[in-house]
Amino acid sequence: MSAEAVLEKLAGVDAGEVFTASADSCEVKFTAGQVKGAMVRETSGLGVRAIKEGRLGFSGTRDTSPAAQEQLSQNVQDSLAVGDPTVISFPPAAPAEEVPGLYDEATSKLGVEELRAFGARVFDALSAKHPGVVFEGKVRRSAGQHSLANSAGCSFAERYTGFSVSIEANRTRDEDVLLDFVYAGAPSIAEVDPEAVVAQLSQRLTWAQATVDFRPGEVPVVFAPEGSLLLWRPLLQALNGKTVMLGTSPLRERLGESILDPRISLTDDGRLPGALGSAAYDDEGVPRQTTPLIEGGVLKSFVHDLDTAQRTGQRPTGNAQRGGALAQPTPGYTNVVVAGGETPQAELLAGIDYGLLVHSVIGMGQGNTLPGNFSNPVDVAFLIEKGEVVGRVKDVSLAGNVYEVLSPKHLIGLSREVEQVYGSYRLPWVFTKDVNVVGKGSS
Amino acid sequence: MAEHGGNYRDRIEQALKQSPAPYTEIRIEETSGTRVVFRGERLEAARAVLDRGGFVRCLAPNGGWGTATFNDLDQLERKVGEAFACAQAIPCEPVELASVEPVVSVTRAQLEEDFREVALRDKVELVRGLNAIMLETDPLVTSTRSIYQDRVQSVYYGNSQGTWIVEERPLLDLYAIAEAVRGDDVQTGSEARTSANRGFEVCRGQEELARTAARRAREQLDAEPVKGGCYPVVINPSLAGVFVHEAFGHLSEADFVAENADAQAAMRMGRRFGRPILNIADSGLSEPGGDLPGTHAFDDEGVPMKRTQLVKDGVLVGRLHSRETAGRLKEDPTGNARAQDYNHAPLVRMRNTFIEAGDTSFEDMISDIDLGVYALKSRGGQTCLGTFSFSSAYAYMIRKGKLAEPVRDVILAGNLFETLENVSAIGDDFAWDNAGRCGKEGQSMPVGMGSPHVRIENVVIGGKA
Repeated sequence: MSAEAVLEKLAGVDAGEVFTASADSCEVKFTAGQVKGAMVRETSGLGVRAIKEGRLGFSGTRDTSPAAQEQLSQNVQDSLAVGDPTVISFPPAAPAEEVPGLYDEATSKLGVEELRAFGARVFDALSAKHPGVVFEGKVRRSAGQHSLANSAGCSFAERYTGFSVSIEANRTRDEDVLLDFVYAGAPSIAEVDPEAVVAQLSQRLTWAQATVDFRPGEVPVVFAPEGSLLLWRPLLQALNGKTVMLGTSPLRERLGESILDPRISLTDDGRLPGALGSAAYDDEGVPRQTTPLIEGGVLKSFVHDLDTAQRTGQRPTGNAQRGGALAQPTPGYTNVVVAGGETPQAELLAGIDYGLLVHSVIGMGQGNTLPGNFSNPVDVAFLIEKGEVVGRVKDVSLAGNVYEVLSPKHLIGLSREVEQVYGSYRLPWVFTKDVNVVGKGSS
Repeated sequence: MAEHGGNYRDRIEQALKQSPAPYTEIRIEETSGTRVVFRGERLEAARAVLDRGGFVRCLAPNGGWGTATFNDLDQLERKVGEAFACAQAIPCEPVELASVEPVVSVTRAQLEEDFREVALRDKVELVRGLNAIMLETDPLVTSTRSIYQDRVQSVYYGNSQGTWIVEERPLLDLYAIAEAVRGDDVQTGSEARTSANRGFEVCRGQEELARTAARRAREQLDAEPVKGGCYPVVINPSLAGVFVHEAFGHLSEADFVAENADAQAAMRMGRRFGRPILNIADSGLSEPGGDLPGTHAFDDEGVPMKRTQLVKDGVLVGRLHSRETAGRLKEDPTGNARAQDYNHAPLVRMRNTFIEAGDTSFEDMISDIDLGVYALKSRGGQTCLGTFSFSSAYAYMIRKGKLAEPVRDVILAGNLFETLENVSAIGDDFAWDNAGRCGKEGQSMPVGMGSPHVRIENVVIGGKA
């Protein structure tokens, strides 16, 4: 059913909005390096919001039966009847140019055979290079469409495609277990380089062949782009309009102030061409935009949906996101881009005499992260000695506060190279010093 | 919603008959649920949603699993064809399923106060009340998240070996999360109650949940961060439950070892994992004292749930299986193949995992600790098999055998094998903790955890030096 058709059926409300999401995907699963399963998925659902006498109501369904469509209207009315006063009104049509590179016809048509062939290249190459390591993972393509129509005249439908490969490596030597993970994704299969995926994982498996001791203390710590999420995530929590509105963000009253080292700039870019997080509109019909959040260490903006923008007296930033048709919008990130520095990564690495290279930690996001505190055991991490990576480090934890670690006192610099990780993050390597690494015997 | 069960049986059995695959299973699910959320003083959401979809999985003669999932049930026959085509397109070593007796069974929800009959308005008022308690407890508690959610997932399952199962799975969650703010510092108190197979009556008289959350959040503002280092640690039943789930339970999931000879060697039966005081089990049955989130009649492959002993007197004696992993390792299926919903294939998952009661009293457990940490309640945890980490919601120092000042930011980390060997005392005060979801490969499952107090030597705690 089209969004417009459902909208017409909403009776007796002052304003209405219908969001639909449909997608089909195909994935091939590999276990122990061998193809093991194939799966096709087809989903569709819709979410309805309505405003009546200043109150907001919502319901959604993925049940396609006529009975469910009837029930949906009743559910919206029930929700309206108990809803709190709302401050938002649905936005009128706003022009937004299409972002190039988000839909690829060829990717939308990939079937099991093509995905299997792609996966076989990657898994065969890894298994040949690393006997004794067990690989598993998925190759997946998806194609879908979001649409939105509201009674203020906004109406759009956007198509997208996605292609991704994710691989987990497991090396077990009695009590010594190494688990590592790599993910690469883009709107088009042509943008995912199987050799690069193999090379990335292979590099770390080679580094991890020997486990070495690490001398705990306040030492230089190098965060690979994946590992640097430990530092960026608490910031992203604090930059979210929701925590600002609720009064829990430590940054809530610091717009215009310097909060980090002046070499740090962080942008939410909802219009980055060919990027998984991009779109012309957000999930409330607000045009997506490029929003500098931190520029030269200075706090410039938060990310907002209609509700958080209105309640904080700021402008919507086109960051409303829904976790599918059954969920209501909330501010989220599109593509997070941290600007690179001036020095090549290799040069910065060469300057480390004794330090820790962190690729991943365990339990990211656990504990009380909003004030910026972290304390996590490393997962995949390495000893750097005289500028060289010399082996895997286990059983040590990192502890600190991201606002301190990203201040001039601790920040050595950011690499010139910026890498795409986990699909929608573009991050440099982060070089820091005097970070607390705790291990046995350090109490 | 109209009851579709009878109709589904005909349609599923018809589709199974038409399937060209040697093995086919079909699952149709109907889920209706409501959710109420307060943030601060404001009602953020009050909604009912509907979900319905299908899942078909086939094995081809020389292929692996072919699967199709969908929302439009009119497509059932076509989806059986697609699933079979998927299976045929991936020639591989044949999957052998452990045999189970075909069963025909219908399990209906038996709810004292059926939450499907409770008006949305009454649910809103209930949460409004709990939310107000948190906001009134302390002026520094300025932000809250109060959540009520319920659902009944009706599962209709049939396979080509003659099994037909209908199971209604009611689940209810109540969360009281308080945030106390002072300057840049924000501290959280979080209390939760998850209940399977019980009705709205569970939500009544839960005011203490809200008071505790607010009080804990406030107390944490004044607690000093723990000094990082290596300590003897006593963990309370709630945290010990998360510990056994994270640190040990995941290694017991047989998909970890089924196709990995090195992992099989590490997890060989008969291997010693701890001192003889250590006993660990995982149960999908109704256990005394708990309306546990991981309790069902059947798993999502039609295997009856049971209680599975994992560690007996410190020695590994069992593991958790799907039909596939049991078939591969020539062990008995245990009923641990669970799927989040129709959109997902079942994975080997825990149900309700617990450390059995020992005989040490709490006082005896701490009396000879000169300097240690008493850590309570989990605030998230993760394991990477060899290494695990879990965070405690609140904690106290133990000094000269007595509980001393509160500390915060206590995150415990360690190597599983060493840590289990370092479990030096197990309490006589077993308790279930009814609050848990576990994530694995993108699927979130309700799970139960339980334990008495447990003492562990030489635990690394991250924190300020």
